This record gives sequence, C-alpha cells and structure tokens, in this order.
Amino acid sequence: MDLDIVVIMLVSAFAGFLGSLIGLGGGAIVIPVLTLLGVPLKQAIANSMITLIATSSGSASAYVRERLTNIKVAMYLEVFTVIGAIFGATIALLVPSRYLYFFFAAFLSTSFYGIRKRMSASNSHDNMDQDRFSKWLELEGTYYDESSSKEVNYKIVRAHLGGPAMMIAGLAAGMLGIGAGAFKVAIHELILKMPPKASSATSNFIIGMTALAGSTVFIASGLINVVLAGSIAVGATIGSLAGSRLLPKMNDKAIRTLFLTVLIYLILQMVYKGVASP
Amino acid sequence: MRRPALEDVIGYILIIGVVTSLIMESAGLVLYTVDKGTVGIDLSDSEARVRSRDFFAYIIDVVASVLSNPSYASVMALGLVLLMLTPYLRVVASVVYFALSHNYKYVVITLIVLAMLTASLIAH
Repeated sequence: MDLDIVVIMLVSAFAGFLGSLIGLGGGAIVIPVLTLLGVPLKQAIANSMITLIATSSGSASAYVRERLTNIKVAMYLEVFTVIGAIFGATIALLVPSRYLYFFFAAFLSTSFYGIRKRMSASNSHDNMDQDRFSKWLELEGTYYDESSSKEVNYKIVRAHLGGPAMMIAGLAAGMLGIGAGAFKVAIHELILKMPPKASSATSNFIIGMTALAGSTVFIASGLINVVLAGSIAVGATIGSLAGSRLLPKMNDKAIRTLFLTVLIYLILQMVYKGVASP
Repeated sequence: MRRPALEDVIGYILIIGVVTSLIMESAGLVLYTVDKGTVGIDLSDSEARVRSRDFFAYIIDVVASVLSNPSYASVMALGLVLLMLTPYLRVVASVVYFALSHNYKYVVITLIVLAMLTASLIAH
C-alpha cells in the first residue's frame, strides 16, 4: 500500500480507538501497522513516540483536574522513567532493527496483563504499613470514586522498589516508542499498591513525560518526518477521543475479543519481520 | 489572591498545548496537500525532516521560519515543538509550585527531571 496522509490517519485513528478502549494507548498498535505499510521500524518508533505526547496528554488533562492523578507519585517515578526512556531511545538508534522487532513482540505480550485486569473485578486491597521512605516522599492520595460514591484514601508502599522498576518500564518505552502503559500500571498496583483508578490516571500522566524524554533523543536523529508525525498525531488523537466516549457503551467481551485478535496478529507479524529482516 | 491548585494549572497547560499543537498539525497537513497536490508521503523528503541539534535553538529557527516564510514544513515543525514543550512546561510549573509551597523535597525531585530533559534536549 502507498504511504499517504489519509491511510496513516485512518490507521492511527483505529489504533488510538482500540488503545483507549483497552486503556493501553495506541503506540503498541500503530508501530507494527506502520511497518506493515512499509515505514522502517526505527522511523515508526521515533514518529510514534512524539505523537504519544498528544494522545496521553489529552486524557491526562481531564484526569489531573478530576484529582485522580497523583502528581507527587508521578514526579518521583518520572525521575526513573525519564532516565530509562533517554537510554532506551539511544539504544534504539544503535541496535539493528531485527532485535527491536523481537523486543517489540516480547513487550506486546505484556499487554495481556491489561486484559486479565479487565476480566477480573477490582483487585482486593490488602493493607500494608507504609515504609519510612514512601512516607518521607509524602506518597499518599485521596480521590472520589464515582462508581461507589465514596472517598478512597491510599498510601503508597515500597517506593524504593517502584522507582527502579519504572526505570525498566521507561527503558522499554524509549526503545520501542510506546507508552508501556500496561507495564506501568502493573508496577503501580503490584509494587506500590495504588488503587486501580489512581493507577491508570497516573500511568497516563507519566506516559506523556516518558514520550517527551524519548523524543528528546529522536528529535536529533533525523528520523522524525513532520508529515508522518502530524498524520499520526491527528489520527490517533481523534481515535482515542472517540474510544473514550464509546468506552462506557461497549461490551467488555467484544472489546477483549477484538483486542486479543489484533494483539496476537501483531505479535506474529513482528516475530515474522524480525526473522525475515537481514 | 489565592494560588490556583497545581492540578488545575497542569490540566490547562496540557490541554492548551495539545489542542494548539493539533491545530497546527492539521493546518500543516492541509498546506502540504495544497502545496504538493497529493496526499502521498515521501519519507525521503528532506524539507519534512526534523533536524534539531539544540532544541532551544531549533525553536527559534522554527518560529523565525514560520514568521518569515510559512510553509507546511515550518508550521508542522512548530506544532511538534509545541507538543514537546507541553510536558516540559508542566515540569517547570511543578518546580515553581513546589517552590512557592516551600516543599523543597519536591523542588529537588522536579528539578532533577527538568535538568535531565533539558540536558537531553541540548546535548545531541
């Protein structure tokens, strides 16, 4: 297929739509599709990374004003994710593309965590005593949960483990040009014991910063093409807005089936491209 | 005057930055189509390529080129620059906010993030 603005916008809108339905961001979908259309992998990674700032910041703006986002937790974790993303993007420029295809396939597989989470109801919240470091960092929060109409108070634990784990998330994000949202949410919930809504909102907020950190490297690489990046940005933002509007009306099972099908197809494609590339 | 909450300041920085940037990107796509007479994308087109060695010097170049000779390439490059400045400005706003609140622990944490981003933006 020829590369043109209309095709790129449609593909990006579809990726943004699907990404926001499943709550993962569209980068993981748009990059493999761009490579299927003939865009070299590294160029797909660099151009998609910069557009992630647009798709994540749009919804981040709403979450932060609704007080779902925990800014202190985000700022602390961003110290690590920014280092990771800068290194990750630098690695992406240095290693041969065939390795990136394999890393990409492996990382797409972590998206299954997001699906598992949608299948199980809200996870149980065991109470852990807050450690001294997390307390010193003032990592706690309150938000109003509309579905249960009550205030949720929480305290973050194990910040000393969450930071380095976020560096790995940032590394993967920078290297592959994606948000790595599923991975970030897993760290927030499993290590830091953050409640799901605050966790998704804060992850979304951090993705914008990780995307900027990766873009600081890619913008000097000559891989960013304004027409390609512009088409992805406009398409993906429209798609993700439509997805977030439709989300409450969609059948969970239909979303899951659609996403699983696309995910498995993309993983196989990336493995195939990795094997086939010189 | 009461200081607005950090959440509101950041929320507005994000939405204004993204909307402005997307408007410029859309305008650029229209200019491109009119100018080239096609919607085809040429990845080897050097005019469309972003080459920024020092991001802050690049901002000045892009603004100057939009003012003197607006083209699809300069308008869209400005859109991308604004997009990158959006999360950058929200870190700057956080530093100022924590400083005004005398929360020096978080002034240091946000300054570390800001310093790394700034170094990476000028060091390539």
